Amino acid sequence: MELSHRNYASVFLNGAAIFILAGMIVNTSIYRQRGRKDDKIFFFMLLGDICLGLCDTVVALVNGRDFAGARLINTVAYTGIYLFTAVLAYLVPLYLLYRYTRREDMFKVVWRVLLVPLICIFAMYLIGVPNGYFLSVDEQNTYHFGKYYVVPLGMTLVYTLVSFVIPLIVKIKFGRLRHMYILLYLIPISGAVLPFVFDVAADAAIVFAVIFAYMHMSAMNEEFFDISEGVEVKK
Amino acid sequence: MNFPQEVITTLYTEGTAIALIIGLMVYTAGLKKKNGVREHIFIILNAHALLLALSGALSYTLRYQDFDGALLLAKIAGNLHELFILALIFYWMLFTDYLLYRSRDHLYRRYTPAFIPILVCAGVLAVNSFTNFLFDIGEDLKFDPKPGYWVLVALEYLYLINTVVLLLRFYSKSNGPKFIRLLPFATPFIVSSVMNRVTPYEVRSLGIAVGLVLLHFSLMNERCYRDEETGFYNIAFLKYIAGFATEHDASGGCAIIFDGAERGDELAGIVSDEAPDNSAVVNAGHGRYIVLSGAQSRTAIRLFITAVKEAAEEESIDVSADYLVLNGGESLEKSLNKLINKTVRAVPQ
Repeated sequence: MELSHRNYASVFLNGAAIFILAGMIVNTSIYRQRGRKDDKIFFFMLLGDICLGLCDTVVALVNGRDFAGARLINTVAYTGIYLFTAVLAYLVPLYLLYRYTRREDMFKVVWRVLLVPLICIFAMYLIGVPNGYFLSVDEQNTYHFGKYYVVPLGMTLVYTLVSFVIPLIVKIKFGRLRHMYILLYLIPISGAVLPFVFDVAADAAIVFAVIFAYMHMSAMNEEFFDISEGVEVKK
Repeated sequence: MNFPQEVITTLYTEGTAIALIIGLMVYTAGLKKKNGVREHIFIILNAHALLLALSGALSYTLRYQDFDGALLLAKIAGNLHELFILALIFYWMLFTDYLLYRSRDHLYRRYTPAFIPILVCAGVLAVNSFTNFLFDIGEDLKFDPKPGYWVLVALEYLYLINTVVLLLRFYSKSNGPKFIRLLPFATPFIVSSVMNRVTPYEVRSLGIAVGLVLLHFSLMNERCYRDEETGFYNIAFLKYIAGFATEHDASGGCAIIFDGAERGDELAGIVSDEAPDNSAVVNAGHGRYIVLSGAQSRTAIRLFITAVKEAAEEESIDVSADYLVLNGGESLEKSLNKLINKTVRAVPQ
């Protein structure tokens, strides 16, 4: 199979991302036994990024190729990229909210409210993609932006704004802002900016994977966990 | 700066590797036990991985520059790249050995002679930048290996094979596949090495960086339930098992506690050597060790206790011991606490 240099870059970087994320899923299973929501949300963030990486790899391998079903696979994979990016963008503010506040009552309301734009994004893509409104794949199996591609992307950016606001509120209310959460700002920014800036390899999956790896390393440094009691024991 | 697409691809992989390793170095800088041998070797591995990625990136970019001496600098960077990969594989071998045997003396004894080829290669690679008898950068600006290069590759594989042999020998003597802890590093490295051979891109640095990150996760995870000093499980693990067993109404097996008091450190090795297959040893602190075993026969348990006491007597270690057969009917946690309280001497204040 003849791949372009860009495609090789995508395959290598997505492969590295999937290795890192799979490793993190295995190594955070011990934390998920605590039953805390932020651990579960982090798990879904890792899973979402793996799916993003897989979709991107499929695109790298299939884009521009001519075989039975190639165009459909390419369309589904590109749609998957945008949907999983939206899912990640949805999970980040939830993670921040629960990690900082641990307020069940607030969390119950916020996750439902924030779910509405995500449902709209899913609906838009499911309805709009067959009609080419948000993205299209031509007969040469090449991707193009749809006429209204900005709409779902704009809604994804709304989550970015919410992700900026939550740590600020926590800082004002509780007076603390651990440095590692500043990394979380990079996630939505990277996801939104990278595909437009870099043409050679627009792989948000590896950027997210690296940021998640930093977060996990930082979290492991901050606390040791007494897993039998589910209590964090400060060093 | 206009680079061919394959160079940009390599720069992406090297750049990602650098980002991962820098993050790893930043977040491991504050590790509690910085003076441990394992931590020292891990820091050296990180440093070599970073230098490997930097030298790789430099070698690829400099060869496309027009200024005087650019190609020579690219060759020097390329030679350093080969030296760092060789040194990194050597330190990986040391790390594996220490993880398995936990002996600094063993490392010095066994691996000091094995370091000599690295020193020789360092000298040879330094000269190769000017003589090009191992490899060169051809007129097409691509890597051009000469026959001598394969001696270098053979040495790399020799160190790798030695590491595998080390793991297999340890596995054949020990309980359970402890080498699985090392697979997080080995797997990405092997995959990237294969990719390096079959594609024109330099991806080993990325594979090594991913491997080091995964290894770090695996080792840090173990801190939750492993005692770093002895490699045994810790009290948190014991409480977890007790709670798990109570919740699932599990019974069977036994718990044997040994107390070596002030000479508990020396007792650790004896308990480890005599412990039955498929048992778990817990470091209960203050020179005490609890062995969780599937054995239920009192005869077998007493034989084990006698074996440990006899071995301890040879070292003039005074050991007290007791055991508990786990029959259910009472919370395992309560039973274990009773055992600990019954057996131990007063802890010195």
